[in-house]
Amino acid sequence: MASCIAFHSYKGGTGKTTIAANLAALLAKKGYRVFLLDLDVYAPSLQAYFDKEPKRWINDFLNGTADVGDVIMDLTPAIEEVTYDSSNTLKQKQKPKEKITGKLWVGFCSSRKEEIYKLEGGGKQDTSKIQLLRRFILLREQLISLHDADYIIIDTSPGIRYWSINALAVADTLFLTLKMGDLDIDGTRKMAEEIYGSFTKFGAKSYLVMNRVAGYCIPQHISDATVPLPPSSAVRIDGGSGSTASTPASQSSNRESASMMQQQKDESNILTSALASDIRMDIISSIACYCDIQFSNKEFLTVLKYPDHPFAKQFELLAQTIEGVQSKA
Amino acid sequence: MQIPGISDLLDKGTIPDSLLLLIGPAGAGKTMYCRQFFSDGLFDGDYCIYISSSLTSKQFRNHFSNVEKLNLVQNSRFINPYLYHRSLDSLEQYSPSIPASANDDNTDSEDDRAGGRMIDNENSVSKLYLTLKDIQDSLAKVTKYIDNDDDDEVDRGIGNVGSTLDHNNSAYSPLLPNHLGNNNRSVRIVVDSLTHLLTVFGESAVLKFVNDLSFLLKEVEATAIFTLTVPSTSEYLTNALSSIFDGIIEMKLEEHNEGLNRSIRLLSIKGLHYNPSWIKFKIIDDGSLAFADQSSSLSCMLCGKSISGPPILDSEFTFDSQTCLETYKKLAGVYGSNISEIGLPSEVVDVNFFYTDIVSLSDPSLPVKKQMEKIGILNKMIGSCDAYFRTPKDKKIVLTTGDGMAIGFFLNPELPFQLSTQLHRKLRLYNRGKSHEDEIGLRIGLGSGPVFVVNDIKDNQNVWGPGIILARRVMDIGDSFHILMADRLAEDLIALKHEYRTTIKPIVDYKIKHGQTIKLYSAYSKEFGNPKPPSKIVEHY
Repeated sequence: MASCIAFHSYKGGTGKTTIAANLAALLAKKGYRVFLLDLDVYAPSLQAYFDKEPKRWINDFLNGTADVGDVIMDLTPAIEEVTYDSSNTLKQKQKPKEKITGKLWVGFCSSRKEEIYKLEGGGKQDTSKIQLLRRFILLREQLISLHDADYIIIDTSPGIRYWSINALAVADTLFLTLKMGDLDIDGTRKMAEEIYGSFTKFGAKSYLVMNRVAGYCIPQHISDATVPLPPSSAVRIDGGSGSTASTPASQSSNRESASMMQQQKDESNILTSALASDIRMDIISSIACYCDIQFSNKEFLTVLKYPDHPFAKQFELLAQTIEGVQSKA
Repeated sequence: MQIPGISDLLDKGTIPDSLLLLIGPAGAGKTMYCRQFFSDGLFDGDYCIYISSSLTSKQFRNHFSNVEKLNLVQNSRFINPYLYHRSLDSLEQYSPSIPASANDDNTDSEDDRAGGRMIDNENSVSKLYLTLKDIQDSLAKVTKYIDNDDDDEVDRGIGNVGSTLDHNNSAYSPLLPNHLGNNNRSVRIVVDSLTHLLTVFGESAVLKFVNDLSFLLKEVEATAIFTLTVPSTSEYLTNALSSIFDGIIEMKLEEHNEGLNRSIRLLSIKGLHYNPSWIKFKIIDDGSLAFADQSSSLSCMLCGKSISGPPILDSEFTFDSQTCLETYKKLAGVYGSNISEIGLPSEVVDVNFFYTDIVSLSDPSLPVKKQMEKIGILNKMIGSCDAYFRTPKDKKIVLTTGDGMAIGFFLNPELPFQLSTQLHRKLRLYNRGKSHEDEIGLRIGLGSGPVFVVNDIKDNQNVWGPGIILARRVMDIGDSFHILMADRLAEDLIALKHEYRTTIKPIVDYKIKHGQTIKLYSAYSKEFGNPKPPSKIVEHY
């Protein structure tokens, strides 16, 4: 049975697209037939991860001018190009490429303002909003019935908007993404209470995904401090020795910084736990903040390119959880 | 005459009484199409004859288990030409005179021996003669043939036709116009299949039989469907058969990921110029056909598709699948109680509404299968009413509800009322002899007023506004077989024609929901409606 997962958030910039793209790629790598859809219709950004220019867009399908086969691109060969064998112990650049056993198709959304306007039911077209919605429902149905989808992963628009609501309504699993350090607890709670209740009441499952959780990248100046690393982020990417802090004064300052970090983490944990409890959602994944990914000049699919990276490992866990949920359904 | 799917096959929605050749590959659905055509005829009160050389009587009865037994016995006839065992002594005069093909002029041809079941030519001719005679006898009875017992006259008529190809000289001419076709009962004939007849009786005998039968059927203005599996071995044969018919219906079968796709088109019909287009159809679980663009079928409230399988019913709406129902409920939870609210109202129009539902359909003692059957029957009956199928698609709006239907007619305020009376007549015929559980009781509410069209008009769905709400409220007041009308529509009709004054009568000023008071009218006569005051009115006053 196919599973339809929608990534959503109250605010923008929480990492929905990064998580959706990486999860889709990983599931394809694991052998599934995966369809990744960009439904962030007001600010689509999925193209940045694949560097492909589609001939037809999801917009064309929704407007009734293209078939489903026209608007989904088979990007399996493209992602095979960047997939490295995680079982090989050679250094990253020497690792052989790995054959992907599943398939990944991606449907991109046009960022042209005319196309965005059309999806709001505007323009000179005859298509009303209800017809656009029906086409969207048809898209989901045809991906399952004609293309035998195992997973449909939808990257939605943030907030309470027409297309984010539609995307959430057709999904059976909802991932509400929160970016730590930039939480809008009240807005998220209100949205979850007002919107998610309608979806979960009729069978959808919803989870919180915590993104950019602190603790993976420890500032070098406090790396010698006594503050233990959190278990979930125990791998350091640089393996740095952190030799700058040696004087008593600096050691004191470092301890202060470390304590501050711990306090921030604790506060975040309390806030998110309270939120999860209030809105009755489990936290399905906590993805740490990784500067090497965060500040990269170009978007890439970490799960394929750096399969040994802790970020990729976190996705392995997420994928396994999803598979577990799916097998119980 | 209406044939299955005609409103989709032809914009005009109807064809003249015709002899139609239905061609297509094996498995395309020809037999099921004939079944639908035949069943529809019986529901409509037509006399129907089914001719098949491959079915037994028992198989025929099983094939039409969807039709009420009494109706099947009284209003139909099954004939298997292969199973005749009568004396054939007096039939020498019936001899083949049409050469079937250039190389088929004797009974020992290779084609004729196909399957080893080929019967000799004399026997073929005789059995087909008896078939023709039997058909004529049956038609004579249902069309009040005067000298029904005079076999000699009947025999002479048939026999002469057998040797006469010129219609003007046909012995049908003196016989049929005077004695057949002199009442209004319509006749439907199915010959399924010509392919099997050809296998059993040979080309020349079958061609002659079809040609002779065609004259007989034209005389009584019957509509007939003959099936032929194509590609056939002989192009000549296909062409020869095609020339006898008024029109050709074609079916095709395509492989698909999920299974088979069936399509149908009206390839040609004499005297009509149009562009034939393929229409997809499905054979659903109860054996009936669902056409892809059939506005009379149930369609999903959410995705708008025609429902091909058992519909999922919610309190007010019908859905194609559980997923659609759940998605609808999710959206309704966010957007509001009606899905139409998520579309932007684009146009306000004045519409005359017919609103109906089946009384006591939600009775928990009634099995779900029975409920489904009743909904299916109601849909077919509505689809076969003149007021419905003669109204072009762009002049009506069809909304399906869980246990009924709302149909909005643009412009003509008479159509909702005409549809009600036509439906009641059909329903009375259908209910005759039925057990209480099998009876279908309807209540009908009629009203007119403005509605928002929130969708492309061709989609026949998603309208909302005072017009349809009023019709619904009026219907809710009624009991079984009531035709109730809101004041504005009733008064428009009364002002329109004198005859309406005698059938549409005011009953009471009634307060409907939200304190709105309307003058309520009830339409009834001996043939339709319910003269009793609605029980809600009686209780209230």
